[in-house]
Amino acid sequence: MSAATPARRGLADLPLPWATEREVARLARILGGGNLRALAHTAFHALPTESNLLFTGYVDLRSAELQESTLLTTPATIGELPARDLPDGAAALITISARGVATHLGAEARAAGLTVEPLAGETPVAGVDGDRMTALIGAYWGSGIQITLARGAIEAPIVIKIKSPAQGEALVTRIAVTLGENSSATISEEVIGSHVGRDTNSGATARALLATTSEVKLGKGAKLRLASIQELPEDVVYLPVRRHDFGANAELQIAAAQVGARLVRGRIDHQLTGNGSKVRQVEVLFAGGEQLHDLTTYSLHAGEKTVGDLLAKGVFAGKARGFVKGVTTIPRSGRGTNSYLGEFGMLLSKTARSVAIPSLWIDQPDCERAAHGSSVGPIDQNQIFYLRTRGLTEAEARRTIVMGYLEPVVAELPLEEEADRLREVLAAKLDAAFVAQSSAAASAA
Amino acid sequence: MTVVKPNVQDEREQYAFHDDITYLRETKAGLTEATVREISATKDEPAWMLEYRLRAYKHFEGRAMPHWGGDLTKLDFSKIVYYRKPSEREEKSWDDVPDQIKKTFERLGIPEAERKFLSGVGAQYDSEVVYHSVREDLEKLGVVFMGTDQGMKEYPEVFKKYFGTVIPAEDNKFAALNSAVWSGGSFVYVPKGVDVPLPLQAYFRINGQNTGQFERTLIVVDEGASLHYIEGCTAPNWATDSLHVAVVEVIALPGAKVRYTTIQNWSNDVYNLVTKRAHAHAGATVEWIDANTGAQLTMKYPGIYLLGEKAHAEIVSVAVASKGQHQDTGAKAVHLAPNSTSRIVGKSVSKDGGVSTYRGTVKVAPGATGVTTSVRCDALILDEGSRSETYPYIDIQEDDTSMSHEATVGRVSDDQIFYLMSRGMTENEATNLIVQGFLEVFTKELPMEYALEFNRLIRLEMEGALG
Repeated sequence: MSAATPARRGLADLPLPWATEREVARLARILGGGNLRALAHTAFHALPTESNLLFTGYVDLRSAELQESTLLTTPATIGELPARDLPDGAAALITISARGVATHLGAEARAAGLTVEPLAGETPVAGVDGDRMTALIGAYWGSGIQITLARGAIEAPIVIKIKSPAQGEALVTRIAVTLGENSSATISEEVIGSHVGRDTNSGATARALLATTSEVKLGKGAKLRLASIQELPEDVVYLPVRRHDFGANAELQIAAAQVGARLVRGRIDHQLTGNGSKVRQVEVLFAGGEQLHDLTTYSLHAGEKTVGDLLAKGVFAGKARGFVKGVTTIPRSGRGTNSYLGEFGMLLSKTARSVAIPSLWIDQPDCERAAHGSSVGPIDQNQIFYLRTRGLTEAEARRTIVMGYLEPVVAELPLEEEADRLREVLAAKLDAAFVAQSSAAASAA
Repeated sequence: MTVVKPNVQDEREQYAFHDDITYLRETKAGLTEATVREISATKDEPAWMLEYRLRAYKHFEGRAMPHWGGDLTKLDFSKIVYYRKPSEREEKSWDDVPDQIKKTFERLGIPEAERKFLSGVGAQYDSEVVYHSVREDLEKLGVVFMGTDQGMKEYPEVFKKYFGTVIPAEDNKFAALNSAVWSGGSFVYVPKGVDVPLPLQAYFRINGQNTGQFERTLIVVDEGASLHYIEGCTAPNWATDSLHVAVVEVIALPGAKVRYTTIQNWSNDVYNLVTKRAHAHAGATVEWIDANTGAQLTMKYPGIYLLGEKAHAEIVSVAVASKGQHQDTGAKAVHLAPNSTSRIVGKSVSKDGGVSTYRGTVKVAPGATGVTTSVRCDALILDEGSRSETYPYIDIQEDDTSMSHEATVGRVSDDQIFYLMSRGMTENEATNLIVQGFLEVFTKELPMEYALEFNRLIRLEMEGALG
């Protein structure tokens, strides 16, 4: 296909030249899982981009220019990283990039019996039959790891660095995490560009694809803290699929920040099947320029007395759009559920757009709480006025207010350095947004 | 199960009877272009209306059934009779209404209500309006309240200017169906500055088996004028499906104030698929006060497009879904002008396997600066096997919008029941009182006679809810 005159594309089209049977066969030869891949391949071609009828009006993949991309296959083995690469205070480091997967386990991780292995080809991806993005990963994954902690606790975080592929490349990778009974661990994910220090490439076409899973299985009483900071360059399409299966009394705390990428289309599934299991999720979205952050969280409270506490906060500048969607389901088995879903937005420009669709689907009257809340508002002029009377400039006042709005989410990150780094990233993005806005206002005047 | 008290049984029968009536004219079951032409010819309409109907019919034919919302798979358009005419003309005097029809409405208490506190009343029996009257003093002020067919003939300028402007024929499949076969409904015009002091009421009754009722209501409230319009709906319980597909268009011109109240109590075999929308111009206020207790499936989302600066929208929507019922209801506020405001309150009760869905939209379009909007929707589920669904859509495209949305789903608290039972109530009475309290946000907006009637309806619905 010629790039000179791109064909007119529908909102839900995602042209991928490598989504073929031949590619499935090739990947199966290298990494295994031929039958599962074939099923996922069929599902990918049969499913609509959005299979949930509630959300079909909010799909836009047009910025994904992947029609000439090539799919990467990385070595099936896991390389060893030098000990010096291990960040201070981390238990283990795992890097995933176009070059493959490498790792280094620190003393604490080794002592606790943490293992990081290539993912077995026959490991199914749950949900391939109902979601097209999940099917995409199930069919065409080119690298995968299995992180296992059978028992015990690791205090320090396991750091996973995921680097985006170069322009014209597609990296499809799976991360499976299994925590055994009563074990506990912390994972800190950094999703970054392939070139350190590279400028964000606002306005460029997105010709790189990073599709990842995070498949977490928590045994009875297991506890996981999971943090993810995504600051990809704005020429990358990012498709994260997360699924969390909960044993009885298992707990997950997840903090995720989406700052970069041209297009993010993410899905999180919380399968709260174990009685007494809990999830607490906080998300930050900060989009500017032409970015689109499209995130959906599904929570299934199938067990008794499960808890879901979900909070998303978005800031949208420039021409950015945020589609924040949620479906909380309480089937008849979910007696005593306590569930809250909050989706909040702040718009910094007249051309930005915030969409929130927090849905509930409830079959069990005996629930402790089933609620959602949502609000969208501007920066409060009274607060600006107050801060200015205290000696702050207008820009400082605005920054203080926006950072204060996001802080409850940022403070959830397990490593203090990470929280600080995210604060810096957000502040820089905020300044850039205000500069862009005032120059736009000046040129309009 | 709790034993149903005999007096309650009697009250339900108040609505459930049907009359054996010989229709003056009726179309054959099923819908073809010939049916549309036949309806139009019967009504001796202007040519433009026939063209409009045919265009709408074509769209209806070509448009797919909505695949979201309720289950429409059993709805068979070929079994419905699209037009049934019970009487020769629309009467202005109650005494002139044919006896059998008069008896129906007398059993429902319509003329009594008129004498007591209404400014005017209209009654539609199957496809045609059989009676319309408006108080003489209001008539002198230029207030028009008549059947829509008559309105088209007597006030062609106002009619043609506004008809189909709020809800185009192509809006959705059911709006297209109504546009093709509409008959009856109310046409209301309130001139500039006129305040209609008491409610106008319309009463819709489906009597015949497999009848489709397609009333079309057009309400124009001119600058600075005010109106409260109330409609009620009932049908006898045939064991086969009837269809109610109405289109209601309301235009509130600058500074006007309109309140539209509905108490929908169709029998449980009716498909109630209604499009209701209002345009609120600058400084106008439109209020939809909407209750749905009847029908097997209701799909109804009263909408207000805020077209002018400082327009205000208020939507209160309550629903009770019992056995075999799906109330898929909600509200839409579309802000297209600066400093417009809206408030939506949705309340639903699901019981005995009923399904309640709240489906709502708040949209703030680019250019609509300084908008304030709030949504509150709460649901009660009374027993296992019943379901509550909430689907709010919030789409904000202006940076100085202030929007808040809250929703909760829960059951009746044991503590409240226990407290009320300790004061001597039975469990049923206690639940009933709590549900009435939960729905009070709606009841308090009604004139007193209606509030009493509505509470009686809820009590009826609640009988046998527990045990």
